Amino acid sequence: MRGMFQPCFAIMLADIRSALRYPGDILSGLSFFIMITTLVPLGLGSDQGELARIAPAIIWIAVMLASLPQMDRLFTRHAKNGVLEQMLVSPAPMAMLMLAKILTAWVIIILPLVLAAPVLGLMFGLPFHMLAGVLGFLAMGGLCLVLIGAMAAALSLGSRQSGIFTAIIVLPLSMPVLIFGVAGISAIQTDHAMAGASTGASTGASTGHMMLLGALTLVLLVLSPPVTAAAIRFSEE
Amino acid sequence: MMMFDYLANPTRFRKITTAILPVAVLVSAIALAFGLYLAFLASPADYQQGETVRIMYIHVPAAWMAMMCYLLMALSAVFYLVWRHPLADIGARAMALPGAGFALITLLTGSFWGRPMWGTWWVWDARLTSMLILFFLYLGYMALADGFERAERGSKPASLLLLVGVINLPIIKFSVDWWNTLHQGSSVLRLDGPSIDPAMLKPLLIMALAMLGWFIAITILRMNTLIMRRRITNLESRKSWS
Repeated sequence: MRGMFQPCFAIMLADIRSALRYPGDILSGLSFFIMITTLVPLGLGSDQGELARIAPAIIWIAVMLASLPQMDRLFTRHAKNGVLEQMLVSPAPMAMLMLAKILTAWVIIILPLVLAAPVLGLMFGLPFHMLAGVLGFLAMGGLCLVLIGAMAAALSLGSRQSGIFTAIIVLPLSMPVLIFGVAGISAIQTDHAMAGASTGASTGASTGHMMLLGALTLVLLVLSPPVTAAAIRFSEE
Repeated sequence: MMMFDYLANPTRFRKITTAILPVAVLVSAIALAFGLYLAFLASPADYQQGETVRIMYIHVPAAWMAMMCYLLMALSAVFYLVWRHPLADIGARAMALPGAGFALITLLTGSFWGRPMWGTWWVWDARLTSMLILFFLYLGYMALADGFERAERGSKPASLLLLVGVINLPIIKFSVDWWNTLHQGSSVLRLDGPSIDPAMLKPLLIMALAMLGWFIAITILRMNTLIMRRRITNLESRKSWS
């Protein structure tokens, strides 16, 4: 077993190291994320009640858009310098290696956005008790996004306009993530009001949405690594 | 499988499809004329929806075709990925454009129907949105399949994308049963038999036959065009080498 996980850890470590070597990539993704959210109050006006109502949707859409360019580049460098080829000929199962890359991509691409989201939530006037929920839903849904993004990036690897293709593939497939993610965060508010009215533990609507999002993540955890691996294999043929 | 092996020879495929083509065109033309006559003149108006119900005779068969076409493309993708036969890939590529057309017709006619009935061109409910996603999947497939310098290079990634997108089909089919939406429930393909009146079911099925015939004809034409285009590319690359 140790033999199988060792290359995975090696890939994770190498990817994190090279991400830390170019912190500008992470920072530019982060600033793109913040700029998208900044556009909304500028275009919509600064009515606090209105902004707080649409804040979950804005933050979610901004995360989806801001993670796209980085996800598209997930494999390009490794395709160019021959690392993908080496992964294919290595005895470790390709799907496992892809899973390692996907989990690392979550740390590098999604985690910075997730950590910045509560600050943006406060700027949009979200109440303080919702921020933990924002973190939780973005972290879980973000994993879905990278799982879908890895498939799309691998499928469009080597095409003429891989950036736009990745977007065309990712966005329709990640619509359920957006729906459950936004509904879940919005439900926290109503759950909170209900919990205030009735004492005692109750599982609210937001827990239900979290479970659906979790189920989606599990399905994608099974589906995405083999599909990504197969797509990489096609691109290296 | 036997039939697939038999058809896999391109020359034989050409011979058989040239025989099927006129039949499909003829069936489609007759069914279209008869179906349109029934749909617009010889079928009753709905007691609730009035004359607008006639949109159904285009809308519903087109929606069936859009879903069936995607399913056929996904099956071709399986054949292509497992048995690596180029004809399966050519089939999927040939069906993509008509399929996208059917999805677009479904969305447009649905919109025209929704305006008088629901008072709006569009609502963001489960069935409409999932049909829109199906349309996006068609666009994504076509973009990816043609997105590489060498045409055949796009075949495998695009086939894989088709398989991933299959998950959308049951969502479309059952969305009206799972979610309580503005879109009406199914009235033809039900476990307890169709709840639609026979006077309306007949033109509906005939229109579906017309669209199916047209779809078969156009797919055969497009497949043969793609086969010939591929031959030309091969000849040209051979010429440039010598």
